[in-house]
Amino acid sequence: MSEVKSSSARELLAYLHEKLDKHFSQLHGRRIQLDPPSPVFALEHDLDEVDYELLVNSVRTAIAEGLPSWYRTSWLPFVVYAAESGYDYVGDEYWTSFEQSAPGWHPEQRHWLKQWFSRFSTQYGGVVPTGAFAKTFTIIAWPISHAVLPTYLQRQLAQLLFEFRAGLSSELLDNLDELGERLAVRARLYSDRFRIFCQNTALLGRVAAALLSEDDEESPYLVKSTLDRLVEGLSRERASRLWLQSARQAASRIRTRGFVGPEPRSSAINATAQRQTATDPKLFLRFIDGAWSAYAELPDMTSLSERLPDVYEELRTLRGVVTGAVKAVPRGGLVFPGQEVRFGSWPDPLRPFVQLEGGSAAVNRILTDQSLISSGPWWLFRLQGAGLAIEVKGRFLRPGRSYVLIGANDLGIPPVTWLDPVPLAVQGARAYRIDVPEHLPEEDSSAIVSLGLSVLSTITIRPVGVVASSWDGEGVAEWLAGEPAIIGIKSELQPKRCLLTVDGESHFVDWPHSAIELFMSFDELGIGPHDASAIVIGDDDREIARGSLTISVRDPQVRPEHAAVGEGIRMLVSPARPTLTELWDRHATITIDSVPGSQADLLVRLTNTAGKELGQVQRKIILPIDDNGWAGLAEGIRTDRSFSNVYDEAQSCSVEVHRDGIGMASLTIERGFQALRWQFSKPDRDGLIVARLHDRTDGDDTRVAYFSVDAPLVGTNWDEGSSVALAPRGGLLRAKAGDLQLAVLAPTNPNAVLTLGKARPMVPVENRSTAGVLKYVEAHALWATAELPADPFAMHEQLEVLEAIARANASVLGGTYWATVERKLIHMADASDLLDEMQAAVGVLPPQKALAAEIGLHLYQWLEPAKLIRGFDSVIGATLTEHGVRGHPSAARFLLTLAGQPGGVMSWPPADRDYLLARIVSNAVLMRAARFAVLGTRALSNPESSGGGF
Amino acid sequence: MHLSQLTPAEASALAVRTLGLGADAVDLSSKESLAASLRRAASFMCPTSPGRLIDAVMGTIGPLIAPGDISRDGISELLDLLIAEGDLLELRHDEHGRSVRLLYLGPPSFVELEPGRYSVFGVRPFGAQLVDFELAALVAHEGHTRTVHIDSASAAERFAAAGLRPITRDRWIAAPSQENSDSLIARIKSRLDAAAGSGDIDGLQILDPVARTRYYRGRWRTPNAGDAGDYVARRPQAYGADLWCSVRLEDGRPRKVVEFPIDNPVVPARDEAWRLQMAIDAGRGKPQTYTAELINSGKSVVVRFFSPIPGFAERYLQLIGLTLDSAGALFAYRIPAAAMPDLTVFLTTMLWMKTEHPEGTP
Repeated sequence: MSEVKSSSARELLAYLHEKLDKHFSQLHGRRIQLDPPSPVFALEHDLDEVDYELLVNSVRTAIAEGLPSWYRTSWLPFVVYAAESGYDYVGDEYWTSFEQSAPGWHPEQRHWLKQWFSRFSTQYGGVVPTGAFAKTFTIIAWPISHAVLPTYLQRQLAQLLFEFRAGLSSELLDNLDELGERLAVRARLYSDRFRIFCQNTALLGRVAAALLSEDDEESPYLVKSTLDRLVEGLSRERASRLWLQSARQAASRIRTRGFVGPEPRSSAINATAQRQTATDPKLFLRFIDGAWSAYAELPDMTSLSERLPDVYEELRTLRGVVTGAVKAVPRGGLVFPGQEVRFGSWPDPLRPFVQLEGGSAAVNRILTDQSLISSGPWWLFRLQGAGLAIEVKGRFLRPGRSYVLIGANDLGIPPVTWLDPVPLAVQGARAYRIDVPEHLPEEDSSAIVSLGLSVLSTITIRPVGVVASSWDGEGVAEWLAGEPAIIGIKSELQPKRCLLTVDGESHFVDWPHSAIELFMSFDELGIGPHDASAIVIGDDDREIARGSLTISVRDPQVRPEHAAVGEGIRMLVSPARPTLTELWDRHATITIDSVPGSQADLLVRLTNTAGKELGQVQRKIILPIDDNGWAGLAEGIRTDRSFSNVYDEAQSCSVEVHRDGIGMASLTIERGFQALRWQFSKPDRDGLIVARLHDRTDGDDTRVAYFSVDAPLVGTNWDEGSSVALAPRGGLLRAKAGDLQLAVLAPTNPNAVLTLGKARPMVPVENRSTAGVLKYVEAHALWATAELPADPFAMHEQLEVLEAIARANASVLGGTYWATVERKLIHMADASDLLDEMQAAVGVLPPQKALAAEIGLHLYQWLEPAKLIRGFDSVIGATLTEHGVRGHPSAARFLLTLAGQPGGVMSWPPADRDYLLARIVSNAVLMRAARFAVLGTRALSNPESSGGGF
Repeated sequence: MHLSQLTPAEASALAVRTLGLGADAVDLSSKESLAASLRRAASFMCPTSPGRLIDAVMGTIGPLIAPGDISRDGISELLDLLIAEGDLLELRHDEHGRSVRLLYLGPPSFVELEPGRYSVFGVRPFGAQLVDFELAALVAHEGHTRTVHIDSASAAERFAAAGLRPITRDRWIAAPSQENSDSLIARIKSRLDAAAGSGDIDGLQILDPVARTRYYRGRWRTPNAGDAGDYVARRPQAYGADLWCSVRLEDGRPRKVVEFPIDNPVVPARDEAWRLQMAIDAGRGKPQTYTAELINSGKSVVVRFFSPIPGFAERYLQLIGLTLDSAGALFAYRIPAAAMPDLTVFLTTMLWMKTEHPEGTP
């Protein structure tokens, strides 16, 4: 008997590498046969338990031994090991858990993984990470993508598939890129981390298709062992098991029916080729106080970001300006369905219907193309009851029905006798009520046709049986995907048969004997609009009448957690989807709408990464809550100890408003995936707090700087790994890694701050030049946008710094005499005592004095930001022109911003900003006038007001 | 795409199935189907006016059923029941400075009727079912109501998993404070005393206090020249639900008006208006009446009502009894005889009602 020595880790790795090479090569061979080819995932290693255990032990041994070169030749086991770590990844810190599971691993070895995964993609067709996450996390994106669907995201994918099940079609199940894109758009309501996963739409489509395959079916996109593993993971929880089952059943039904009679490709192509009418507004009229008012209901525009994800970011954060509307759509409102705008003047169809204020040209172009109203010159609305009229886009009139017709003022009165002018509360247009007679004289028919309208007399095509999800009363009806569209075709005369044409495909249907109406059901229509036309034919094959209906099929919408417009309590957050810090640092606001005067319960819950509740705050509130109401409410919550004690630790929060029997709306707001995060220690006995950076980036070029309150423009550099001992006043911590930057305000030692007294931040005097001013602007922006800790004293210190920078900026730009006024203001308890001196300091030349007097005269009228902008714009215009500022309509707002919140001018396009700064640098009176307006209105404002101005 | 030609019966059956009901058990003109149609229409159209919902349902169902099988009034009454149940809400909405009342979706909720038997109500937006999966199979549709029989030990968890919030019985009933009829009348009178002048009101209709209380629809009329005093009134709105109010008339012309709801902004205006009318009728010595008839060997009582009652009373009845077809009455409930004493106290103290045939009560 000869002794058999135990195999070395090196031998085992070589054995496993060879085995994996063979497996992945075969898999790659199969996947490239697919059309389009599908990628291979490292998680699909298909190793049995014994081999996998060998792999784990061998890899750990190799790592423990320092990963010398002889181990690295057998690299496939390391790829599999890293992918398995990605599978268990919980969206927090990949490297921390990786290092803990494999002692001996060093950060400088990370590049090996990237290299091996890259080689895996070349040799075996491995999936390549894409999306913003992959750009930022150039290494860990690989193992996470190769983990297919990390455990902690599985529940959310099951839910997404469930919610999307009715939108599935045989085309989508065959076009996985499209499936992935469609699912990704729906994922906007899900967690930040899940949306990151969904950014790789190709991967998402394939994983979804594999999960939707039959129980015993081998998916071409995932090996069975991996698919079983995912399904098993999803089945552990009851809800996700049911979601997946239901989604699979829906997919199975579609596949089964596909065998019976596949849908002609033409209709799908036609549907997708058509313009996306789902993003068009719906026009309607309401009769209020004796006149018709005109409105548009705006759909959720998120679908526009289906192929251009950047669109969503602008839709989320910017205000929508609708042509002719009385008010703009609030920031982010275009990603909420059901926003209504009222028209003050009739919208010009030749102008873009909706544009984003400050939006990019590309996004506004998409909105111009994809959100259209009818072209006019006449708009027809069918009366739905006495007080509501909905636009009939097909412009069909039906005898016996009543309509409102709207046209521009300069159009003549239509020459028909059954039409009466009615009051319209909209500028630039006139309205007429039309009561169409049962029998139309020939001349009236001609007059109607000349207006671009047509009269349907003997045929009606309409939804029957089940209320359609939308129906304009004539011509356009909408159903949800997955349900039958049942229509009735009614003929006044007795036909013999009907020629029904849907998306170009014709069907002769015998008319039921002695019936006046023919009933048809359309099943499995693809998502999008479909044209249906009917020609009813008499005994002698003569055409009796013809009519048409646009059948629109849409994905079933999912109720947003903030509630739909039809619910008793609705929330709106502006901008949409803010981060935790944006919400609680007052960069986002929540409004809650409900019946005025009703009471409700507000509950704010803070949770950590694992979803464990850290703390909660409850309030009784009276609805509705507007912007100002929220500002006060949020302030109170933020200073509540139950909130502030755990805020810094929290990863997400939910804000829920509810009243039994009336409604419930909530928002889940996450801190967001942060590659860089500061963590603060609890104060020690002396109140000392230490800050430490958690760096989750892959790189090693992170730089850390600490700015004190006393010298807010001077950053002290620290080593990334070291702890920063904080000064009692806190300060600002900045970490930079490549393009990433994180600035946070540090908490204070309140007792020490009370002892130290008021802060006196030292802001150096910069050159009076554009570059010099930009130093103030950038510093102000850094301090103004830094994330706030829970500590309320930190915000106080921040305000001191911001005002010191604004003061220094104004002193440099306003000149020596103005600087004296600024210095006096530091010591004034009530700035209104210095109003006369400020006015005098604006200038000594007659026009300057006149300007100052004009400003001084209006200060009381300008206490609201909007009024200040308008008023200041009207008085500064001549001075701007005199100093060469022309063609910049936002110059007054820029001046006020630079005077009050200098960091705010960073949001101007750089070219405009530099142009205006150059003029202001060389004309001191501009800054003096603006600063006087800002400080004067501040001095006269109620100190308890919630702010939000300059 | 699959295209099928349907007979009216087939189209009706398909519609019933699409509404999530069993086509073998109910037809399209049944109360169950009509209630489901109203809920579906509301899920897409809310906020909207009652009239528009009724139009939508009549417009789609009408072509498939025999003339006369459904009426606008019938659907309107059914809609009132859905509001009383909590499926829909009638709430005030400010339309650029003007108050209108519109219908909104009630939140998905459940209330325990008795251990193991639950009423589920509310409407989800966008046509989504109230409950999915196994729970959907357990929902019994009876008239406008939906009940679920389920093991009480696991009920809360299963309803929570389905996204339904619990409501306690008292909160669901949401009865107003108890007060006597004179006090309520005096309270509203003092509101009218303090109200500003109303001017003329278009379309005003009043509930005639001297008309027969058993014929509710017949009590509505326009004000006459001799009318003077405080009346319950309503006025139709071009946009939105009817506005209900208490109006002070002099020579048949309105002088002052206060809008309902006054006590609770989230109840339908008519609930407070109806209760006031019941107080006025009681104050005149002509209280509104109901009948109670013993059946089932004295174990149950059929309680019949001839005028509408506020939603809180509807919900109370639903908690203790079952709705019945109501020949000869506006609506009726079957109540266990043991629950009758409490019901009598409730109807007497909250609505000042009297039994018309005391000898029939247990």
